[in-house]
Amino acid sequence: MASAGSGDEKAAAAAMITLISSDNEKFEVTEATATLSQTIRHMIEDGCTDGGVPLPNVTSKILARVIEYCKKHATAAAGEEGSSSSFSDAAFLEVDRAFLEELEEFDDAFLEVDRATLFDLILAANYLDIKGLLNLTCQKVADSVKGKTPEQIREMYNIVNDLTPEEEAEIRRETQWAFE
Amino acid sequence: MSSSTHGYRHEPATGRWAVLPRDLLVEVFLKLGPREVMLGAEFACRAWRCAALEEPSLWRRVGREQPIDKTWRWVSFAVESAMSSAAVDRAAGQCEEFTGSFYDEEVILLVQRAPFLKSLSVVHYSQYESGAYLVVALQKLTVLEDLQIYFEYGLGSYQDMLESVCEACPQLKKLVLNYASAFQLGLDEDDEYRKEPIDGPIPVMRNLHTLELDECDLSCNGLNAILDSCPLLQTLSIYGYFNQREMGKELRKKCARVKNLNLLNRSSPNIDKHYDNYRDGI
Repeated sequence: MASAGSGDEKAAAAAMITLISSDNEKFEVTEATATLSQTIRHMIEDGCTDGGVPLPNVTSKILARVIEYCKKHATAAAGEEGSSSSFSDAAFLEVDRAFLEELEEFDDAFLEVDRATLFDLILAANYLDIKGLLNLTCQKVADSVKGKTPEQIREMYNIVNDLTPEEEAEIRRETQWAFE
Repeated sequence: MSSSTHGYRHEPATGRWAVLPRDLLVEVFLKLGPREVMLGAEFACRAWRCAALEEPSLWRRVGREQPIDKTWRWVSFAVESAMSSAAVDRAAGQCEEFTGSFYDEEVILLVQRAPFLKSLSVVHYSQYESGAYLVVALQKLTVLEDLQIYFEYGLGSYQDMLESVCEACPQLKKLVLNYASAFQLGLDEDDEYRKEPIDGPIPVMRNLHTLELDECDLSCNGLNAILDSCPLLQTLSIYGYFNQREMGKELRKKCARVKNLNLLNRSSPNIDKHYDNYRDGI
């Protein structure tokens, strides 16, 4: 998976960053892709990315997915910047909408993962401080919980009800609305 | 997060969602909204229950209308009110937006528990004595910017609601006052029903950009006073009685300053029977 740049273009090579997952796999990505993560952006600004950026909280499986997300969204961001100067307003809007639609489709497909992966993606998005990805994944959880009973939610997310009967009785007293 | 850092790749997800870090659970709950959290998620386990009770930031926007889709759960009016009330308590004084139905005593209770409301939308205001309660309550909301009230029936002898509200909340940016129509009250419009007269001066509203009034009896005097007192007004909509033919040049000029002006009116039947159903935007 770790495909190094060809190396004959120094400028391009200089803009590449190596990310190292918890299980020691190396991923080479452009700076534009990597800096969607505020955490990595700060490391680059502090000049501490030589020899790669170790990410001990993220496995290679999850990091690969996160990079996939960042690549797509970094490209979209670059495309928007480029198009603003070279298109008329109407054409710009057209391009803009096409971008957004494509991005939305990508996001929908990206979220087609099992709940364990979704959980890991949320933790990774939080650790790497990628706002868009955190929003996307948390929204997915919220949407899946909407309209569900506590029992259905527990089943869906493998949550054990650890409230004691006494606590449940107290909750019933305080919140009659949920038990009508 | 330590439990999730190593070697979980192949283990079943049992229990992990219950230990989702609090700030991330809050993110999810914020996207769910107060109503959904209260109807399901907060009962899933102890950690989720604690988050719901201990994070005032979850309850800053209470009773906001969510889109009604296939997942919507209908509950009784009493349950809806009980949930809103509990949500305001959980906000621990930090509630900024409230949408709900009230009567006099409730509005007093609300402003005591949510003194920093920026936005208040009263979908139904019923069982009011005179409007005086409301005005006293509104005076306590010193950072209120957006106020919308629907009065469920006519205000009777309390006829200067606009002036009183403006006096109580001179800092408002948006104000919408609706009164039940004769039709909604089952009254005969010409004989039994009196629209709210808008005739006199109102206090200066330095920040007001939107004013909407429904079921009002507007005079040129009243319109002139509103335009003079609200220098930033961008949107003005007044529905009810108004005789546009009485407008002078000066007043029309002032009206032109307002970007979105809707005076979709007919003149009062008592003044001019011929202009019944006369509808015209300026």
